[in-house]
Amino acid sequence: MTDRAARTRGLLWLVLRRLSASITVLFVVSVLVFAATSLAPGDAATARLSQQGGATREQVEALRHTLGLDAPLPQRYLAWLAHAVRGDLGVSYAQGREVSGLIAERAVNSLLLGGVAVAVLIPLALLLGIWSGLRADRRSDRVITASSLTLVSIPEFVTGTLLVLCFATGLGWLPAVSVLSAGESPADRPSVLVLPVLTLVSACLAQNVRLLRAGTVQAASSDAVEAARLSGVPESRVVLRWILPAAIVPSIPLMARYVSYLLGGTLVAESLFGYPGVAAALVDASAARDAPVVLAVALIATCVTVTLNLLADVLSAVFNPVRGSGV
Amino acid sequence: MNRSQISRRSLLGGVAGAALTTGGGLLTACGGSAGEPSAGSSYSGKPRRGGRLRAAFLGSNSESTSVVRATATVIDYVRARVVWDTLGELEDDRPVWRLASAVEANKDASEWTVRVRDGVVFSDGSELTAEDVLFSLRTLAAHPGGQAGLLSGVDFGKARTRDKHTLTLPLKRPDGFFDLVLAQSMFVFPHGTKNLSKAPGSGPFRLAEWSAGKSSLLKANRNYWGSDDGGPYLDEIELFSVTDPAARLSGLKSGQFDYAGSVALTAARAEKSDDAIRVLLPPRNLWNELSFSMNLEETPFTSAAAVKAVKYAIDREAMVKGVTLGYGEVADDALGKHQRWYAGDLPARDHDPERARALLKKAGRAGERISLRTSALSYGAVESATAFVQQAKEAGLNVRVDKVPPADYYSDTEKMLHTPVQTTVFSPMTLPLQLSNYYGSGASYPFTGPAPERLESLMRAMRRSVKDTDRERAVADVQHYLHDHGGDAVFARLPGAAAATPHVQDVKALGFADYPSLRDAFLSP
Repeated sequence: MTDRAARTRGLLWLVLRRLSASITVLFVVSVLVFAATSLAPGDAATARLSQQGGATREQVEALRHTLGLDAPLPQRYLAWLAHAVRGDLGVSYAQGREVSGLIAERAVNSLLLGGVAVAVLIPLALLLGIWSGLRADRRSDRVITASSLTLVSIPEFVTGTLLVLCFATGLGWLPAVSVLSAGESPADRPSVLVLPVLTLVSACLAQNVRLLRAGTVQAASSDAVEAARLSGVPESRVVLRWILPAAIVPSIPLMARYVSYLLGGTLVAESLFGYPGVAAALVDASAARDAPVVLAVALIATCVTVTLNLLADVLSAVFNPVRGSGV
Repeated sequence: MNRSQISRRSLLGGVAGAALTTGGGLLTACGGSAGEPSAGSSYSGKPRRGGRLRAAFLGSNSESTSVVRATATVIDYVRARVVWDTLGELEDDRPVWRLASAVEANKDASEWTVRVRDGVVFSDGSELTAEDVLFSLRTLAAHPGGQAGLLSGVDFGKARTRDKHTLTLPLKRPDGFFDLVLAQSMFVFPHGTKNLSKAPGSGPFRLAEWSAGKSSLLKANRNYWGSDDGGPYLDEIELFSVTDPAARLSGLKSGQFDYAGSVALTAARAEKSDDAIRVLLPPRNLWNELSFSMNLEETPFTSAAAVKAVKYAIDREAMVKGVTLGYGEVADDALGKHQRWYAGDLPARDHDPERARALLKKAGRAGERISLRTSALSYGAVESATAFVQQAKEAGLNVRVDKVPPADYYSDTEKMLHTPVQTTVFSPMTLPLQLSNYYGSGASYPFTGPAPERLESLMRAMRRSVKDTDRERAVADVQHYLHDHGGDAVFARLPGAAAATPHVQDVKALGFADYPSLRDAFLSP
C-alpha cells in the first residue's frame, strides 16, 4: 500500500469515527437540553398564559393537555425524537407554529453575521499574525502585539458599546441597532452588519493573531526555511511554501473553535445590536419554556460545532501526515 | 380565590398588562427638577400631517398579531391600540367611551347596558353593531388573558343585543365598577371573525406589513371614524422590536428611531442635558409602585407585629434617593397615590427602626432571618431589596436577598404565592380594579395571602357601590384597612421613562406609559 493510499484510508477512518461520535454528542445534547427545559420552574403553559395576563387553573391544564405537557417526560422526549430524526422539529409551544419555519430565517441571519465575521477574521488574523511573526521584536510586531492584547482584555459588550458611541451616536456613519423592516434581510441592508462584525472580530482576533505569530516565529527559524533562504529562494516563496503552512497548522483547532462560536449565534452581539439572530431567539424560547425551539437552536449550534471540529481535524490531518495516517 | 395565579408579569411591568389600563395623560418631557413632569407638549402649533414615526419597543420572537394575544408583548399591545379600537379607555381615572357611546348600570349594578357608537366602519367595510361588541367580548372572555379575567363576572349566557346599537350584559354578581372593566382595552372586531390574527379593526391605522421579532408597518386608515377630531396625523408608523433598552436609546440617538419606549432611569438621568432628545415621563398617577409583599399566611408574617415591623423598618426617603435616583416619591403602604380614588387622609408611614425592633421583640422574632425573593424583571426590585438589607439590620432583622432569574420569577407560580416576602413592582392600574386584583377572595394575584373576613366584607361593599360618592368611600375603606393590616409595604413610587426626538408630539400614556397610544401622535416641524 502506498503512503498516499494509507493516508486516505486514515482520513476516512478519522471522519467515520468522528461522525459516529457526533451522533452520540447530538443525542446526549438533546437529552440534556430537553431535561433542562423540563426541570426549570414552571412550564410553557404557565409562561405563555402569564404573558397574556393570566388564566384560570382549568385553562392552564387545558393548554398543558393541548401541548402534550401532561405526558411523562420520557414519553415526550421519545415523541420529539421520533419526529426529529425525520427532520420534523415540531411545533413551538409559545407560538403554535412550525419550529423550522420560526428559526430558519434567524438561523440564516446568524450564519450570515458569523460568516461575514469569519470572512473578515481569518484573513486579518493571518495577515497580522504572520506579519507580526516575520517582524518579531520590531516596532510593527510590538504595535500589533500590544493592540491585540488590549483588544482581548476588553469584554465584547464594552467593545460594542464603544463602537456604537463612536460610529453610530457620535459620527452617525452606521446604524446603532441592527433593525430591519418586515421582509428585509441583513443582506438587503449590509450596514447593519458592520458594527456587530467589528465587535465579533475584535473579540476573536487577538488569540488567533498570537498563535499565528508564534507559529510563524517558530517556522521562520526552522532548518528548512534557513536552507531555502541560503539557497536564494525568494522571501515571498519561502513564506508561502514553508512558513505559512507551518504557522497555520497549530492554529486550525483554535480557529475552528472561534468559527463555530461565530456561526452558532453570538448572544452578546445579537443582544447589544438587536440583531435578529438565533441566539436572541434562544433567549426568548428559554424564557417561554419553549422546549422545541430551544432544542432546535441547541442542535443547530451543536451541529455547527461538531462539523467545524471535524473539518479542523481533517485539515490538521492533511497538513500533518502523522495525524493523517490515523496514528 | 376563583382564578389561578399564573403570573403577575402582565400587571407588574414585565411584559403585558396592557389590558389593565388606568388614567390617561400625555407623556411629558422631564422638567426642571428630576421626576417633575412639565406641562403639555413641546410644540404649540397645529398638529402637522404626514410622515412616518419610527418607534422602538420591547418585543420578542413570540410576538403575535392575534387580537386575543395583543397583551402578550409590549410591541403587540402598542400596535393593537392603533389597529383595533376599544369600547373605551381611562383618562384621569374616568372612562372615556370610544366605540361605546354610553355605558349605564341598573340600580344595583347587576346588569349593564352598552350603547354602541353609530357610523363606525371596520377595515373590511362592515359597520359596527352591538352584535360585533358582544361577539368581541365573548371571544376575549373565552381566551386566557387579562381581559378574560376582567370579564369573568359577565353572565354571557344571558347577555343579549337589544337592538342594532344596544346590548345588555348581566353580571353573575353586582359590580359597581364594571364601567372601569369595560374601559380596559376591550378590542372590538366584526362578528364571526374566524382568523383572529387578521381580525379587521376600526382604529386609526391598519397593519400593512409585519414580521415577528423584527418590525411592523402601519398605514393610516383614511376611513377612520374619529377623523373629525383630526387624526390620524401620521401617514405611517413603523414599530421596531428591540429587546435591549440601551439599544433602543442608541437607535434613537443615532437617528434610526424617533421614539424609544421604556428606557432605563439611569439613562434618562444621563440624557437630561442632551437637547437632541426628550426624556418623557408619565403623569404621577401612572407611576410604578415598589412594595415588599408579605404573605400573612407564612411565618413570620402570621404575626401582625412582624408585618408592622417591616413597614417601620423601611427607610422610604433613602429608597427614593438611592433606588429611584431621585425621580420617585415616597409611598405610604397604599397603592394608587394621585389617582382620584386614593384616600387622601391615609397617614404617612415613618421610618422608625426602634419601633420596628420593639415590635419584633414583642412578636418573639428579634434577629429573625428572612429570605427576600426578588428578580431583575423590572427596575427597582433588586435595587430596593439590596438597599433593605442594611435598613433591616438596624431594626434587628437579618434579611438575605434571594435573587431569581426573571424567567423563573413568574413561571414558578406556587413559589410566588407561598413566599413569605418578595419584592413587587406594581404597574399602574385604576385603584378599584387593582384592589380586586390583589386582595380578597376574587383576587387573581393574592401575594399577601387569603383575605380575612373583615377585608372580604369591605371588598364586597366596594363592589356593591354604585354612586360615585359611595364608590369613593368604599375604596377608601379598603385602603385604610390595607394600610393598617395589609401585607403590602408599599414604600416608593417611580416613573417609567421613554425618550423621543423633539419632533415627536402627543404620544399619550392613556393608562400605560410603557405601552403608549400613538393614535394622535404627529411629527412637528
